Amino acid sequence: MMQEIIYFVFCGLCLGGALGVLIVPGYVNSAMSMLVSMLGVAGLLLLMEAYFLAFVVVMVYAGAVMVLFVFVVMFVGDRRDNTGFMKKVALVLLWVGLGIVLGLFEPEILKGGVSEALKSGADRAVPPAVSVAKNYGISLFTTFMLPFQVAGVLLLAAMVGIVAVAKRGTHKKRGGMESA
Amino acid sequence: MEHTLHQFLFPAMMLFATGLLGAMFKRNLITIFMSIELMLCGAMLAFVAFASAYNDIDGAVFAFFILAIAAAEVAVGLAIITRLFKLENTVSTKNLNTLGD
Repeated sequence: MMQEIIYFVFCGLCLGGALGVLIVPGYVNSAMSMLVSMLGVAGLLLLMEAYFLAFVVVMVYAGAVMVLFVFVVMFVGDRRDNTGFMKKVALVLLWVGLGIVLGLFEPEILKGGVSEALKSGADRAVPPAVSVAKNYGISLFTTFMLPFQVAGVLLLAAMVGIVAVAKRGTHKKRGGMESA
Repeated sequence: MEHTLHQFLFPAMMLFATGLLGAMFKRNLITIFMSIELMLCGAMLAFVAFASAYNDIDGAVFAFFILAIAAAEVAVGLAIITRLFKLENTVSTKNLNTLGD
């Protein structure tokens, strides 16, 4: 019983925060509701016993990415979202409709691919694979060695690209695109 | 634990659908980027749900790659947004039609 309550709380945080990104006015409020959504996702990961991933999500998403978003929002200035009321109502209706459709048809879609035995967790004699942090390290440095290195190169490229984008035009004034 | 795969796939799909709606219908770049983050997060949740159901670590490791992609993407995107804001003084896609007709 307690498990279900916790599940619904995290699920509500996750989906409510996501809906908040769609309909809440103002950029800071959007960022905060995305933060709520990410915390809900971390809670769901905790329920799946992927503890390490949950903490990484809190650190990276709720920490680093959120700080970046709030920084840019402060740079741009927090202004009101001028989305009309009717458009918001339409968005919420579309969202609820999507939820109903997905909730109804999701077990049907998966029926062929997932056997009955896999619907719940594995046997409880050993801890599930996703709950042991050591497994991630072993997998990263054996099976996924090349993607791991590529991810490192990607992050380096992103860093260089950010510096290049942000640095251009700081020392000499450029004409701006509106003259085109 | 008594949780089933479907319990976690539903929030994953709803996160993805919400992000898709936001990316399609929102008008300012910052919210569009947040929606893209939501989509990535939904994909990550689905990966981990299947990894947890199959008791296989490979899917969960992909969550790390998704995190790396998301961090790189949001950093580059926000740099472009700040640059665009300096040039055009707006972040609304209504006013950013220089490449259009």
